[in-house]
Amino acid sequence: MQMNAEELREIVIKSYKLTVLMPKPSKKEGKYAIESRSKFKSLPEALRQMEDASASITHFVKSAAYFLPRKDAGTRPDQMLPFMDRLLEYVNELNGSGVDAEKVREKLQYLIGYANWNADAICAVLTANGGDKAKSEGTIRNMLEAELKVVGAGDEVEKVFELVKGWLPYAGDVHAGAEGRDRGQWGQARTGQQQRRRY
Amino acid sequence: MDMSDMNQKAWEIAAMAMIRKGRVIESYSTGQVRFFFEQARFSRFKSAIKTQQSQYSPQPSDGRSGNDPRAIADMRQRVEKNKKVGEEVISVMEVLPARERMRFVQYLLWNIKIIEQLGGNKERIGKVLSAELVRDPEAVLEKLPEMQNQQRDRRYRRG
Repeated sequence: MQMNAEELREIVIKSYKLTVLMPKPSKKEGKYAIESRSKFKSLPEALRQMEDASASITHFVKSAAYFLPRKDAGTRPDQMLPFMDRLLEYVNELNGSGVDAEKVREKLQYLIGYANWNADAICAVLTANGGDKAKSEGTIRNMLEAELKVVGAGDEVEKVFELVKGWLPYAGDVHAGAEGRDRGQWGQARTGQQQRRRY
Repeated sequence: MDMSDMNQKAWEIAAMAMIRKGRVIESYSTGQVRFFFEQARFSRFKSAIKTQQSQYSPQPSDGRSGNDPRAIADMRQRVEKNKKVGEEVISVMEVLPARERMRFVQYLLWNIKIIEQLGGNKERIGKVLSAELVRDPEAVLEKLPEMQNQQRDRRYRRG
């Protein structure tokens, strides 16, 4: 697909806005990962299941609305709704943008693909740095600077970095894995509200 | 019937199959809907569904006695839903080849589950319909049973 610089910039920024609505990374057996990762990983498959682009968009949306909020061991259904709402918002924007269905399908493939890569990259950074807050944030900031400048979105680095920081597994957060919660490895004191949310 | 028409019908029938139970919304019978799903691959689906319709006898839910007026009304509603939904399912399956019938019942099942998972929230369901490029979302939304707060709001508006 021929995508111009402005389209690519928009997709990359939106992909981060999707990533930060996935369940936060948590530590399990020494590695950081997000819960229910397979639900997100399998989303692009739905876009490839049908030849007709318009039918494949319908199938993709239905499959997302069916599988994302389904109960599983890792996440509660309501945890998936913010991600699903934003994804639907982006699909509706693309549908209404006047481009043909084939282009919408390809843009969605990039959007979801990048959102998954973002999550994987951030988890890899956390794992490589042993969850160290300062080191991880430094690496993520460098990563964002390099990536966003290439697509002409250097002016968005701070905003995206703030979004990503809010998604990182701070100690005491309800989304953090058992190891993270118990060790408080990012040195953050739990607030009373956070403490209450756990029970 | 093209894919878009088929999806429209799958949504309308899914909305038609829902009942309100207190504060939740659910399909009138998961077992009956699964039965439709199983019949889609057989050429004699019509007679199988009709036989099943005539034999359908829902049990009182929530441990109520069969003589409880609310249980009687609930059971009657489920029988009526089963008749109507079964007829609609047959009318769509009759015009579809076997492979498309399978897709139709899969979408019917998914749509029912989506409505349940979204708690019957019309705004959220409307966004799904719009993203799916459903031609006539209103025809789907108007078939959904109203939730308690929606009924209350309507009463207030009437004054």
